[in-house]
Amino acid sequence: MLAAVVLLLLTQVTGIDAKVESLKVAPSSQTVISALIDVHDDAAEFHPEQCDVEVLSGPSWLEVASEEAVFEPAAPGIVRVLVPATVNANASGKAELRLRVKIYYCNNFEGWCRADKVDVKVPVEVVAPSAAKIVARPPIWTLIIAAAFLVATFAFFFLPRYVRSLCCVGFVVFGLIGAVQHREHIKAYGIAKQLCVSCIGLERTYVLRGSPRIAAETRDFVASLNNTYEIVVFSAEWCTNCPYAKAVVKKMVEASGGKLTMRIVDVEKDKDEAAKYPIERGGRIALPAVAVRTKDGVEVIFGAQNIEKRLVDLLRRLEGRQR
Amino acid sequence: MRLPRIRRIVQFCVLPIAYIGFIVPGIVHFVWPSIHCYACPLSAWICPIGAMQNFVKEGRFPFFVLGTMFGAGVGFGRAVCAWVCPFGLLNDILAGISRFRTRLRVVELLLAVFLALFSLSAALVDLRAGVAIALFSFFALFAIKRFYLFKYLVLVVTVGAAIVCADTIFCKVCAVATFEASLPYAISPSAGIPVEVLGAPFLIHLAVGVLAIVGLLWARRFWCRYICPFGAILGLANRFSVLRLMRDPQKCNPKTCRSACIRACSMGVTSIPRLKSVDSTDCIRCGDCVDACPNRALRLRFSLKR
Repeated sequence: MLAAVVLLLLTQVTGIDAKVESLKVAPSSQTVISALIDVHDDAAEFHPEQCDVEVLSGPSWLEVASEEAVFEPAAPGIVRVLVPATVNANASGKAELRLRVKIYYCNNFEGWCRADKVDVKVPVEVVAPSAAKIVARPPIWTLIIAAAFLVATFAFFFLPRYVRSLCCVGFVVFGLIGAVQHREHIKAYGIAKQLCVSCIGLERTYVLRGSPRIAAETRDFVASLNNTYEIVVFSAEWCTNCPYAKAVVKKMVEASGGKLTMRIVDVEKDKDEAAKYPIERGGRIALPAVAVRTKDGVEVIFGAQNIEKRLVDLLRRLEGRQR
Repeated sequence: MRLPRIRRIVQFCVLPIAYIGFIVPGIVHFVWPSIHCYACPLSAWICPIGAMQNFVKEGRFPFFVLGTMFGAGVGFGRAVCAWVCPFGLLNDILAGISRFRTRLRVVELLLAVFLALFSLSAALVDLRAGVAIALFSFFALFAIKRFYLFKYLVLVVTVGAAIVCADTIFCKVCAVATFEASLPYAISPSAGIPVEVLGAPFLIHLAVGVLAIVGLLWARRFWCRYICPFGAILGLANRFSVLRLMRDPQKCNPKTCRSACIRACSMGVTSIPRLKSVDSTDCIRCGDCVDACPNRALRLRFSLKR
């Protein structure tokens, strides 16, 4: 009994968990393997430079660029691992990819650091190109709850009076308690404090389908840059166009061969960092925002529309100024 | 002082509070108890429908919005539509200007155009979702034929589109967003956000803005009556709100006054002379009928008893 309790406690304290999404890929395309690693310690601080990914086994048609893996904090105690991969033309069927992720994290409050390893199994399925999308959709239970709520809404008309009053007061209590429990009031504050440019239709919604393509001229231009620039992409969890903006900037950074470096700042989690940049418009932070830092200052562009062309124009201007 | 005048004064007094971002920058954000775009440069409040879509698209249940909405609903019912909603004020002002008579044909046409625009914006994000929404909503529009239920259809489609497209589709066809966010950002040269003036989202916003103005000129409180999904949810709370519209059956005599209350009602509620307590989901407690009643049979009062 005691041994069981100790074992349970140990697994809870020392074990780290991984949550992966199954991957749907198209032949001859590029994709990103995403996994959430939970270390069960909210106070943990991650050190991305000491974390790495190792491929244990996988299908021959999938080339995993494990050295290009990106580690970013997703929530307190949770780190998101993004590993780019290339799918060959002869890909077919289903397969399983096994990765070993090493996470190095410290608890500065208690003063210790540790490295943990976790094996991640990613189911990979090859589908026809049109169906291979990376669209973040809410899980199915949301649909069920929403449908139940809507059915309840219409049932309202036919319920006896005292049941209706009880329901209504119940909604208030249930809603406010649930909001505090799920920290939704803070989330709502974030939603109103930042302006998602596409959410209210100031620009089109760009859904990230697979990996975006950038023009050959852009590749040539970023490879021939004389100076180095740091590009900071500001995003938020719920921002619709941010994944697309991030993917385009990432492509340009890859093509530049080290001339450009990229940093992603989550404006909700890293408020201090976001406050250092002039990204506020109309009293709120506009997203997606891409800032280029130079010696003289910071230049910012907003929105995902024509982002590739606008970023190239901006870099061209900065090059001209510094030459 | 007469009730409509008091209401107009309250509406204008509440207006600076709604746009308090202009006066008190950095105020903590709360859910404003009416539809009020959170992207408006002057607003510091959260739009309940916008926040609801953002929560739903992320796979969260919108507890916060539900709690605050029903909180307002239990207290005042749909009175917030008539007394504090900034867009409601625009509805009222245009109703005062209009010289047209309400024609259901025109309303039906406008609602069909609204649904087409809604489906189009969903199709821009996900083509299959757009087609599905168009098929479902047009079938529902011509099947129900009771236009006051249209706002519940909009509510269903709004939540459904947020789940299917993982995007805030209603915000893209919301006339409030046209006037509070889209146009200010497009006009303001210092905003720095490149609004594509000839792009599909801006044109859809403009079309909805024009549709709302035309609708408001043709039918009084067109937006509140037929489209607003916030009013749809709040209307449910009308039946147990503390603020209620009461009718005294002893004093009421519809034959002598030729149903003055029905003629005065901007929301088209026809059940006023039949009920003891007017709990219709469309009653916005504006008090126009109270003012119009020659027998003084109607009154607005706070009461817990049914």
